[in-house]
Amino acid sequence: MENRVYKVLLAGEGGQGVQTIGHVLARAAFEQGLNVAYMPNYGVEQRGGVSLGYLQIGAGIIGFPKFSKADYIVNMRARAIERIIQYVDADTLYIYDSDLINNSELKNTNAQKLPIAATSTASSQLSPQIFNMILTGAIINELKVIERVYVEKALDIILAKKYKDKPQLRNFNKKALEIGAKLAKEAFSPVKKTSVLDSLDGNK
Amino acid sequence: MASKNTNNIITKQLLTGNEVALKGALVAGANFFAGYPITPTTEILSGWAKVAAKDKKLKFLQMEDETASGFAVIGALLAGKKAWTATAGMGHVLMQDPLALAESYRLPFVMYVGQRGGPSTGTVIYSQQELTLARYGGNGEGLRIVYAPANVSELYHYMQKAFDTAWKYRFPVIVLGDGYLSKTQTAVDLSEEVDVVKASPYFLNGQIKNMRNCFSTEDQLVDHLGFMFKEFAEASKEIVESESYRTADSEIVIFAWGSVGYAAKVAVVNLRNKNIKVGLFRPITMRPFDTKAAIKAVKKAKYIVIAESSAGHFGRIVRETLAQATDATYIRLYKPAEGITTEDIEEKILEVANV
Amino acid sequence: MSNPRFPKVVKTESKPSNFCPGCGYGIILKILGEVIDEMEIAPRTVFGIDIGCNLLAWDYFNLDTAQTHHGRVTPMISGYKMSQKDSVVIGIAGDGGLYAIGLQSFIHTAHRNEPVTVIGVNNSVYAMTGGQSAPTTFDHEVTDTTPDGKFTSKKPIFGPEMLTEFADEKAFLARGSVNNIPVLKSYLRKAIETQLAGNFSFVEVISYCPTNWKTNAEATIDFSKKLESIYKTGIISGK
Repeated sequence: MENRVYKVLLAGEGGQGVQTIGHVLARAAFEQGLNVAYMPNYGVEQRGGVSLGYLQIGAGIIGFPKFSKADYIVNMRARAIERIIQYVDADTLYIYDSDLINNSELKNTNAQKLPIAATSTASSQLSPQIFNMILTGAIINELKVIERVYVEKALDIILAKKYKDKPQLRNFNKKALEIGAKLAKEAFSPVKKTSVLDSLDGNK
Repeated sequence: MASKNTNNIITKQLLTGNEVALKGALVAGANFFAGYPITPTTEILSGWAKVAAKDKKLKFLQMEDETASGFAVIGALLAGKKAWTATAGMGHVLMQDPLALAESYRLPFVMYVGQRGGPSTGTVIYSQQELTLARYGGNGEGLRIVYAPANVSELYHYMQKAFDTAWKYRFPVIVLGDGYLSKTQTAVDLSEEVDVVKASPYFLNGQIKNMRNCFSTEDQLVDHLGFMFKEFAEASKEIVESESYRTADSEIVIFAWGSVGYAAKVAVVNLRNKNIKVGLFRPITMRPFDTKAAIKAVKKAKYIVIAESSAGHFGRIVRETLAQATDATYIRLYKPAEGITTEDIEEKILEVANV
Repeated sequence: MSNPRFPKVVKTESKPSNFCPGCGYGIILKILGEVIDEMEIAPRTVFGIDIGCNLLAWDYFNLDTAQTHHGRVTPMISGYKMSQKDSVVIGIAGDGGLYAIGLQSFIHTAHRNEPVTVIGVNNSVYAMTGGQSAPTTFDHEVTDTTPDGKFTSKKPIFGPEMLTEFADEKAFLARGSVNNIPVLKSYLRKAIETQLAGNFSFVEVISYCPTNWKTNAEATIDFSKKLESIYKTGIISGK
């Protein structure tokens, strides 16, 4: 593997599961034997404030717990945009929940955008709360360095207690990861790429 | 130091800095903790409460404030417990009261601090603004040791070492981390165990002690202080630690500490690959300060870049230390209460290198 | 006057003590020493001192003794006791140390039912700093900081009574006076017994401060009687 570190910024609102995604991905990277640093970042609100997570994964050395530019951003809330805009550059891939955020809200950047209809897909196919696992599926599809099997393993570790109480949740999550990966693939397939972006933008 | 083997996950665990501080203290034999919740170090308090609930040999007091926490730690130290606490920000301010007593009584008071933004309640997140407070807080002469770990692995090492240094030399020891260090979750090798000296009680040990921190005359206090200065100076020779990384031929030397020190080290690695003659001086003991090594590190320096997440707490120490040692130009990369990334440092160095 | 017989636990080499002539501390400490002797607990007793005139007692006893900062004697002895269960810890502080600067620690020590003994000396002023108003300064009392008399709050702080709100029912809370040595002695003994049974104990003692009261011997007794009329002595809580 290439000796580099991938920088992923997770953004949303407290209570949306931003930190869950971060912990799951960090655990997955760790189980896979990659170097990893994950730093949650939020204000004093227990709920509702903008919640960020700085994730660094790869075979290279990780320096500071924070970074200046993100290779990937996963966003779940429009109001997080003003906090994340400084991390966007031309090489950033911006993944967002297109049910909750209008693409046009991330202005003046050349960043490539990947809309994922996470909330509506989760509601129609699984359960609304699971939208963050659809986004997780999308990010691991793009990130390439983390294998999905390790994400599932990470979920088994982190959600052990929940899985025991609600065994069906395990399959839901597994399915959500698959759907997320599929949505990402479709969005980036050469034929569909522009049309998907356009159609989703047009919906807003 | 922790293992450099990044793939050997068998001996490694995925842990936050707060979890590692707790584990380091436990491995060092800590058996008493008193504290008060404060972000970003609360998980140390609650983590200790959980282990103490299972192991009755571990004592725990959640106190009414940080001052009381520190004085409870002092009571436990007098009884011979390896007692410690953890705090941040305004709690760190309050902790200076018991720390001053610990200095006067030469108590092995161990404290982890996760610096947060200031002044006042500031942010609950991050800064390097508590350096002066850690070094010289309290009414007195700063007779304490301050370790600054650069990353979570080092935190494990220095948390253990803090107890050894404290009990060996009987000066308070602060492990000065920051909110990012506390909250960052990363892989840590927990196989290393530092040798830590045994604790022993000050009281009820067959030799009656009447201890006072209040003296009637200047002469009495001056005697007491003079003795402590002498011992602090002696101990400092053995305690002082720093890292000079690729400084021998460096025309640009970065001075940075703690988390920023590690960011700077990675920046040096990256910049050396671009053939830029840059090095790093990173103090590990912020007090005592490794003056000799700092002076040696700037022998070839034309530029000294001071990087810190404050507006000059560290820079003042650097400039005072190097006052007679160099004619190099100082460049300040000061970002008060904000992180300084590896990229920030690389960018600044490239700017300097291209002057 | 014949040489008073001192308890065995009193450290003779550091005598005479530095308390002002007529100060109540000498009486309180001597009685405490007698109780420690009689209970034969000296080898396991640790003495904690606050700031205020009590700091002069740092070498009063042949006991392991530590001064703290103002108001911090209660957390220090709590930390000690938790670390050394079979010890006897006794902390002494003034009305400022317990009812002002150290109030929250004092309350929480009682609230957590720490098995420690606290002695609080009430002379209605901050004595060591020269007689400023204390939480126990009573209505119309003239002090260094209430030169026209204290009028702002007619109700002083009643320490043991206040603690009944917070303390465990097995705690011992009492107020004695240097004017009644046998009763004060019985309270101190009861307080230590309560600690040995695993519970919090507190004895407030009405004491003399002729220096700051600016009283002669007779007027000192009168002043202390006045204090006793405001602060009723007796067992407030506990058997």
